[in-house]
Amino acid sequence: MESHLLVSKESLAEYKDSEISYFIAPGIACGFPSPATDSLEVRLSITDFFTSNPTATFFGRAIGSSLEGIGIFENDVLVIDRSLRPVNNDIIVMTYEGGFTAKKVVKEGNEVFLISENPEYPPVKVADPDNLIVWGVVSKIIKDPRSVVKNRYGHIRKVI
Amino acid sequence: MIVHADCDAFYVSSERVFNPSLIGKPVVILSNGDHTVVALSKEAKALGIKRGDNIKRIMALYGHHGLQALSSNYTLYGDMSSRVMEVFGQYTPDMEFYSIDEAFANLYRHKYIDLDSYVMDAKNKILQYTGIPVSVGIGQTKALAKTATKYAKKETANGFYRIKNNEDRIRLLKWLPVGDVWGIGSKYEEKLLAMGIKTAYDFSIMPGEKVNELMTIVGYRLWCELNGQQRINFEYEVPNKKGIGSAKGFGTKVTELSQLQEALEVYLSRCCDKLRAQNLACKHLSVFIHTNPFATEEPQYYKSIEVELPVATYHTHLLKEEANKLLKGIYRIGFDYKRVGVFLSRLVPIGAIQSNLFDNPNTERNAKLTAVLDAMNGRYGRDKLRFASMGYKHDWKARADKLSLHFTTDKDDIILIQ
Repeated sequence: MESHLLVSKESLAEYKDSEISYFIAPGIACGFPSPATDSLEVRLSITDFFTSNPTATFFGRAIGSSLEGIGIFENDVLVIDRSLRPVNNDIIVMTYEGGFTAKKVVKEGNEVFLISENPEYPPVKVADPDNLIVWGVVSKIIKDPRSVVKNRYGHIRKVI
Repeated sequence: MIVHADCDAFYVSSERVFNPSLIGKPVVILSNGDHTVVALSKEAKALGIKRGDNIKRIMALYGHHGLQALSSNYTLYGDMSSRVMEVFGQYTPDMEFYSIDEAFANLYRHKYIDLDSYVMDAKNKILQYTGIPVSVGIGQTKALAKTATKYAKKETANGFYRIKNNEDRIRLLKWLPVGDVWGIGSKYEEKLLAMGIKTAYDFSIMPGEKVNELMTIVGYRLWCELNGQQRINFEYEVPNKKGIGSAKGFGTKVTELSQLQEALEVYLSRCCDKLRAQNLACKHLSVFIHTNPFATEEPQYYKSIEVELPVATYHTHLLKEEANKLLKGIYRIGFDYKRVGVFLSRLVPIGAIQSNLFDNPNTERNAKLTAVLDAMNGRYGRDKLRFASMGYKHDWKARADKLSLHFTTDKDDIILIQ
């Protein structure tokens, strides 16, 4: 029996990056119609949880173990939203020796510190908090609990 | 008021966002095949490097200055460009995307705002959101706004200049050498210099009829614009192209038909993607091949061939059959080929395809096949589903040894954070 396409392809176009599901309801002739057809909505997609500003959103992958103190483990994917201004306790991405690193921003009184929670990297006091140079603010951390997956460059890609 | 925004050293700036080690160093971006310089940072300019310079020569001369050379990464630049334009577009709907790194905006709707702070806000937001620095100029006309941007880039600390009154306009035009005026090429520059016209100001006070006589209506429009009268229209919509083509030089010597065929199909597939992205079909197809015209001691061959299709089409698999037939027809054994190219023309909107009596009986099946192809590749990445004849090895491809990664479009290429 032929089915009806209830949601047009066009109206789903904005969900292009996520799961595209067609809402197929059984044809009328072959029995009782589903009582849910009037209430169908677009299925949640993973992108609904991640970004509000795709224009300013970039992604990065954590390597090494130096960020574990601030909750970031090797192979975690960081969602970085450059439209956000850092506030207390944010994790920020900044450039460091030609590459990138992440730090936690902590405000104590009028002073701002960059914290790694790592004995090898003591907290750094920010000299001029109004002009702290930030590459972006980490808005989400994607963890894969099964992650031993290697990317195409192997476990640790050479830092350019 | 017209606003003109121009990204500063756009290709280099895009690379620097994702590779901070390039910041402050002289950087050049290379042409397809890594032969010559197509873009450069201001540090590289300061060394005396120019667009078009040969990479081997400048590396020998300036390598010890820490000169960094990168292959052009148009995937990255394209994405960064649309990010910049998206942010700019939040400020006004009346925009013209002039090129990958330049845009005009017409702020006639914004009569009651503080223009300077509005535009500075846009400029700062573009830098914050995308990491790309932009220079901005404001003037009465497009040509004046572009002049203001040039001035802002070279002479101001904050990369912003607004032509506020006639004195400003005259001062800027006196500052601008006539050869640097938008649209005045080297041919007219020579003529004008011979007449004693050295600056844009000298040009702007020439009698209009004389400009018209010397440089046709195009030059006259420019003359009007520099004098504050709008003559160059806004192109809010990108005009439909006359044709879509792709032709890239090979990185190695190519002699076999099979290699040419593989390259042709890859280029054609790209063209068909563009065609369908604009909802167009083509009725005319041409293919050409040629040897390297600079290798004068080698035997030379150039041939192009075209066909009028009975029915306009947008299907890769149908066009590829035709293109292969054409290629076979012009291929000759015994030459070192430098390039193969394909061009689709006589474009019509898909909805306006005129079918005929002898129409392909498989129209519906073709449409389904192409829809599946586009849906799969839209989701899993370009060419993930492809015709086997497009091959994988691509040993004919031009060199891009120093290509940076696709930081924003490939999940295996995202930045690393330590």
